[in-house]
This record gives sequence, structure tokens and C-alpha cells, in this order.
Amino acid sequence: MIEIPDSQSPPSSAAFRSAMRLHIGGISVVTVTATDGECCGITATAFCSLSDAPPTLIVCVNRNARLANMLQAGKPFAVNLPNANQQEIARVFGGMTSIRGRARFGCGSWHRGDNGAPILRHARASFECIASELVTHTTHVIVIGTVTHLRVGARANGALAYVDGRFLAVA
Amino acid sequence: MTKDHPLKGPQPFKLGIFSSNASGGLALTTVPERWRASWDDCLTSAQIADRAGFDFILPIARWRGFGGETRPREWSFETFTWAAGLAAATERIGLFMTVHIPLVHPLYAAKALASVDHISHGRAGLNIVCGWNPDEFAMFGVSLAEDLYARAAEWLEIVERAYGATGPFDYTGQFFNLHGVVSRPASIQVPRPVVMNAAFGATGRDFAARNCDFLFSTFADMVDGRRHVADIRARAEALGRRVGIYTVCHVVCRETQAEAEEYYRHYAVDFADHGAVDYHMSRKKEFAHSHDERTFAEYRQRFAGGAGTYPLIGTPERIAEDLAKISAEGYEGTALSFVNYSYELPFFCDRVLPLLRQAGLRVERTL
Repeated sequence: MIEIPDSQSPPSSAAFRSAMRLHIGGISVVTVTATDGECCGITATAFCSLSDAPPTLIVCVNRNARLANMLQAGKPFAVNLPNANQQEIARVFGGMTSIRGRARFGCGSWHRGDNGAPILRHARASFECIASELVTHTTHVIVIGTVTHLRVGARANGALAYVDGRFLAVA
Repeated sequence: MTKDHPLKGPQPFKLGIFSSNASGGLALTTVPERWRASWDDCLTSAQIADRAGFDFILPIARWRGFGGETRPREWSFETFTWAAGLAAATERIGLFMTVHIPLVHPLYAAKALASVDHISHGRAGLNIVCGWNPDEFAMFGVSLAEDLYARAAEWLEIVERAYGATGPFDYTGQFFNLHGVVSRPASIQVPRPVVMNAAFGATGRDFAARNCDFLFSTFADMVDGRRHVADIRARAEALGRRVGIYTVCHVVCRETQAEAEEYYRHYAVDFADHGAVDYHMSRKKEFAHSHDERTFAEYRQRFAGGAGTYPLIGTPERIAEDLAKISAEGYEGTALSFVNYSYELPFFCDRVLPLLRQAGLRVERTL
């Protein structure tokens, strides 16, 4: 085993990113329908539970993403957890293909949730939320979402994770 | 309880039935068993296709017929109401509605389409026709305007915004000027039900590349088909989109090749409705861009047989091979027409579908 120490302090952005590649992140697709009706979605790994009383989650979104401008306190959004067979959807919404904008919703089956945000069919789970608070920090915004509706799908297909710059099916 | 739209589903090669809402189906023939398109005919054929695992039904929008002896298509069901009826009587199959953009207001269409999307639990689809036959439009007092596709793009944008907007909005465009727009229920599918159009010309293809999920295109032969697929894909990719490419075929499937060819000649040559064929070919050639010149010049039988679409004539094995070739050219699926859907679909389903499964073009349906 070879250890590569990073002597630089503080570490560079690139060094930080390459270290974070070692962390296994669960894949989620965050979606929103803006007040003017426009749909938007992005793939995110920076998603986790915050509290179960009341059910609350957080997701971190780059402020340059169009979706970040569409997220507003008091407005709905959804977090969908694709199953292992939905890797193509994660790639499309992660900007890893040439498909741009709302055309991304052509990939996968999307239905309107109770709050209006797009819900992915056959996802392992979908959390419909109201954004209760947005905290801007450096390049990103932390979105705190109060869960209003919960949909749990079949688990037969396994989960989808991302590590070492690759998708990973977790049975 | 929402359902999957089958066109977003796992079948490697999608199958649909085409034009069963109109008399004659796609054929122009006087044979007595020709398609009458009664409601019970529509219902029976749709239920056979649904149970056999077909992915979609695509109706045509017709307001008058093609004349001739049998006046084919003069009798046709309006497609929103027709699809609503089928939505309540089928389980899984996708249901398109075909709308002439110049004749239907986008907010009327948005509500009707959403209604069918709810009745079918998410199986609705929209087939956009930007403009076609001046004779037919004259019946409405509408003349074929310029900028048909620009108008269609605005029309579709209004439908999408009406579904997604959280409150009333105003819309100011080149063709529409709308105030306080609201439309509920919104569609179940997001951002809207699946949308297709059929186009042969460059402008129509660009419209599909920019706005549609699926494009239906006819071809004269396989090489021709490959060229179409490459062209359409390139147009979509240039816009950062993906468009599924489908075609349309008419089918005579029989136990032997001779039987199939004999019946094809019988209904599409000997008993063709020649008056209707002449009318249809002249209209299509002048006013539509949905067929190429070669198709017009060489395929009169194809017009009588299936309105200029590609013929699948032969044994189950031969037809399965032809479909495999079409799939290999890059088509994601095809809509099919028969002289009589209810009589002929059972044999097709029993004999061709298993061969398509063996060839890997179809998979067993999982629930």
C-alpha cells in the first residue's frame, strides 16, 4: 500500500476533489418545477438526512447550476434515488451526455408529484420537499428540505452509488 | 396509481397499431372485410394489442375522406374522445391523440390531453400535425399559413407552461396572446405527455429535433431508412436532445409467402379503391412533406396497401426478419396497419411476437 501525503496546507481544490472521489456517495436526482412551469433536474451525491422529527433532509447544489436559481424558500423540490438500472438517467442529469435542459426528462419516466416537482418512476425512493431554508456557503447552497410526501419503490434492482469517478451498483 | 408509458419502457423494439380509428385503416381498398372502424372494432383491436403487449396505438386525425368508391377515412373518431374511451378499457398500452395545430387551441388541447393522461394513469401521448391538406382545412375556413412549425413550437410551449406554472400567467408570442392562463389538472407525465410528430421535410425534422420525443418517418427501402435515421439523429444531437425514430408499415402476414403476396395483390391492386388512391397520392405529393419522391413514383400499390408506408408482406419468419432489419437500421419501433386489425392481429401476435422475442427485439413483460 502506498500512501500519498498531501503536504500542501490548505489543500488545493483539485486535491480536495480527488480525495472526495474516494468517498462513496449515494446517487440522487434533485428536481424542481419553477413557478413559470419550467422543469429542471441535476444529479447530486451531496444529499443526506438531517432529522426525522419532522422528516428533514439536506442537499448541496452548486450555485452555478440553473437549478440553484430555481430553488426558493417555501417552494417545492424533490429528491429521487435512482435504482441500479437507472444509471443512464443519472448520467443524463449529471451532464455526462450531450442532452441539455428539460430534454433530460425524456430519459426515464417522470411523473408530477403532489407538490408539482418531477418524480422518477421506479426510483428506490422519492422525497417530496418544501425548501425551508437555503444556506449559501462559498460555491454551493445547502438546501434544507422538509419532507411532505414520501414514495418508496421496489428494492429489487439495487442502489446506485458513485465512487472513484464511476457508478457502482450496490445490490 | 400511475403507470409507465410503454414508449419509455424496456422493449428493445416498440410496436404499435396505426390508424385503427379511421375507416379503411391505412388501406384504400374495396374488399368487403376492409376496416369499418366502428367503436367496437376500435375497442376489440385495442384490447387485443394491449393484452399482447403492444406499446402504443396511434390514431390519425381526419375531418374528411379521400373520396373514391368507399370514401376511406371519411368516418373517423375524434382522437381525444377516442383515446379517453380506450384509456378506460385498456391496461398498459400507450394512447396517442393526433392534433392539427392550426385547428385546435393549445389550452383546449392541454385540458383534453391531461384528462386522458389521468384516465389512463399516465399513458397519454400527443401526435402533432402542423398542417396538411388545404381541402380539409378549407372545411374549417382555415388557410394553410406560413410559419406552421414556428406556430407549433409556441403551441407546445403554452401546453407545457400551462401544466407546470404554479399560478396564472400571461403569454405573449408571435401567434398567441393569452391572459391569465391556468389549466388543471396538469398532466401526470412531466413536463408533459410524450410528444411525437411525423415529418419528412427538413423543417419538420428540425421541429421534431427541437420539440418532440419521437419522430415517425417513412422510407422507401432499408438504405433510404438508414440515411433518414442518421439525418434525424444529427439534427437532435446538435440541439442537445435525443429523439426516438419510428417508422410505419402495413402488414399482410400469412402461413405461406404465396398466400401473403396473393392477398396483398388482391386488396391493394385488384380491389384497390383507385379513385381514392388517385386523390390521396395527388394530395400527398403536393402538400405534404411526409414521403419522398421515389415512394410516389414507384409505389402505387403501397398507397392502396398502406398509404405509402413500408410493406411487410409474408410469412411470420419473413416479417420478423424484416423487423429485425428495420431495428438494425436504428429505428426504435414501428406502427403497424392491417386490412382488418381484429381479424389479423391474433395471428400476428401468436406467430410473429415469439420470433421477435427469440431475436431479442422484444422481452417478456415484467410487472
